[in-house]
Amino acid sequence: MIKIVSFVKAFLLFTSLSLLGYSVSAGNPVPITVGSKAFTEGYLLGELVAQTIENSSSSKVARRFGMGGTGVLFEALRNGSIDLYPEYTGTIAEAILKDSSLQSISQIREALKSSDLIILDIFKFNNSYGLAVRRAYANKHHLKQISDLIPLAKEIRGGFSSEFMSRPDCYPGLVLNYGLDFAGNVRSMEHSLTYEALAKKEIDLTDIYTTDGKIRKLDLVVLKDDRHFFREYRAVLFAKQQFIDEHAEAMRALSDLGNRLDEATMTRLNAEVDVDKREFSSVVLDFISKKHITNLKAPSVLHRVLVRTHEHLWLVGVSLFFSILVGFPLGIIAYENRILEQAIILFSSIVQTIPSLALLCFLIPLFGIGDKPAMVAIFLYGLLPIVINTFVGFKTLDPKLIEVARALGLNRWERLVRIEIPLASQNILVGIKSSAIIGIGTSTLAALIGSGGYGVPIITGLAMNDMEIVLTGAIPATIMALLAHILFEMLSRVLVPRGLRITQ
Amino acid sequence: MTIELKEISKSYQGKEVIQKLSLTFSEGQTHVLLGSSGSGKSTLLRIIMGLIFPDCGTVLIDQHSMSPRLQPFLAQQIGYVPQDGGLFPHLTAEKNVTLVARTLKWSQSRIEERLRVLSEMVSIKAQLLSRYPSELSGGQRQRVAMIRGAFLDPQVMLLDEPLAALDPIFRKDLQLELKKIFSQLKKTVIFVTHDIGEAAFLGHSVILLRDGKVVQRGKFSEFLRSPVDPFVTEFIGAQRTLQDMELYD
Repeated sequence: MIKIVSFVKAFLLFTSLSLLGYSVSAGNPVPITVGSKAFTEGYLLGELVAQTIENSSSSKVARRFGMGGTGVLFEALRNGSIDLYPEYTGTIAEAILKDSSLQSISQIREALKSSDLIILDIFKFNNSYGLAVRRAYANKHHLKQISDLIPLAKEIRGGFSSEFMSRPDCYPGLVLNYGLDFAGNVRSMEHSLTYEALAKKEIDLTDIYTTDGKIRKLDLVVLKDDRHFFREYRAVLFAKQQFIDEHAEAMRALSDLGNRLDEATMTRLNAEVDVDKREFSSVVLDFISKKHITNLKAPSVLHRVLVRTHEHLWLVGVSLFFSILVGFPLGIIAYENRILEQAIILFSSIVQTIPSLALLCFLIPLFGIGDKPAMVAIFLYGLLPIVINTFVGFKTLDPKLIEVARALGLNRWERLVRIEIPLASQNILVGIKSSAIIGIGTSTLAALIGSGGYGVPIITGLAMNDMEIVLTGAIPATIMALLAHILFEMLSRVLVPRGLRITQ
Repeated sequence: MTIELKEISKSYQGKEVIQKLSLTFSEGQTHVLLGSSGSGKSTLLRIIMGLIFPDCGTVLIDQHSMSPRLQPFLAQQIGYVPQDGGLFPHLTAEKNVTLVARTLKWSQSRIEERLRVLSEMVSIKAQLLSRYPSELSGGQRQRVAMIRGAFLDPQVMLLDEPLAALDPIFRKDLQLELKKIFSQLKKTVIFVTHDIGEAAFLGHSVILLRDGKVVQRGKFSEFLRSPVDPFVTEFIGAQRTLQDMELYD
């Protein structure tokens, strides 16, 4: 009994410590929550919106950047977990409204009318598909627009990303629309490699996103889509109508800034992050401060790691606490009851097979975004190791000893508490340890649904192809996993009865 | 306190291991259950302690019929000493022997007094009691198991081949000691063994089992003088040469 009490005490202490820290760091009530997608332009636009709101109002801003895709963000916007995020008209039409006939901003606005959502046309650029060539090549062949390619089509060497090659609104449609006959000298390749191939003159023509920073770096010429074949992907602000009404001032400030964001400017900002490896928040700060004076200061690496560590510990600690609270009894029930055994083990195993991003997405409609769904996911993933190890720990107990305990006249509860749990304690602890380490790993994915932790720098860094940022999340996460391992080794010295340790 | 088995039967996978067996264990005597492995000895033992229940027939412990509900209570009336000691490895010898008394909320002084008396009786040194089972020798473990079995001062002691795992010299010493202890305790003792010499030496009455049935019951000398069945002679004869010396000294 004493052992259990100290178990519980240790975890209560652990969680209350995290709780304490959390409540201290939590800011003023109801901040404005800005979401963003996990690629450079998404981060830049999100940060631009965040900083503008901070500058033009007294509201606090919570940044939920680098979230896992359109579905996650849209769901989060709809259920109020975020207030607004930058999106593209093409994506809204194709992925959200699922109606490719919607082209213009007004058409999309009309289609959204029945909902309480609205798009704000405050940015002045279109990040669509396009075709690009080297500047020297363009000059040599007098290329300005796509139709200029028609006479050249037979000799030009094209290299396109596989997505571009397969989407009907890309290559197949483009060829038909412009009557381009590339005569087979076109290759499909990984998008990140097309730029390099172009620079090395292995290919002459490739597909690009029209605001990609690499255009600037490699000095490419984007050919004008003179027949307006490519769908528009105008950047817009996606928000709830009510939110816009309540924050008119911030919206005016945003609109002033957005007016300055044309394709060339956006390309330059993207290049500053992707090519010059600058931090997106300071790129945005520079951009804004041409008009505004702000005192924003980027926090130091150490400070950021500490904040992330705190968030990560909170995520893992709370989830682990509940995994133990539920998994341990489930393991015992599985051992006690043959019918439930199958059900419990099957359930915990199935949970484990759900891909983590899918699980996170399922949880958004139920729990919104942020810490809550992340904790539920980590909790669910943490169940199996605890359930299985508890179950196995009990199942492999020496049946003779169990019988002796009954023969001595101990009742069910006494046998469980005094004999079976202590005898199975090593296995149970191994389960909890695995659960904690799995939790530390899974928590890095929580950033995809707007939660904090080490996942934030990992995802940001990956999106911007900046390994340094990735490592500020990956290294502490590894260290935390190692420390967890050591902690549990030490805990097992306290919690596993000495008599069991000396027999081995 | 008497233990009565009335017409009990038990089958495992269609095979009857106990067949309509009736037995009464009278008070204050040492009853030896003798039989080779597979004779139904251990099944019988587990039925008496309520670890398994017979398919039919009743088990009466001090006039209470054994049931799952009463099992913990009735089991506490029987002091059990399992084969190899059956000590819990996570508890020290002392915690092992005082385990049930502590769950019954005995006072610390009562526990200490009982521990002192019993350690003296089985002659085990006090400092050995703070050791874990893995730190004790086989004989020491068996003595600790004896203390545990006798701790609540039950009227019946049930010993399941307690000496089987010990080497012969120790065994002989312990048999002597056990006989002394049994006469001191004045308890009903049910002693299970497959060792003829042990049976003859310790038992007031010997019960020979075969295929789940009682073949013969009585004093050991009766087994020699008037065996009911050729099997009795055969069973006793099989080990007699080895044990002759002990039997008649």
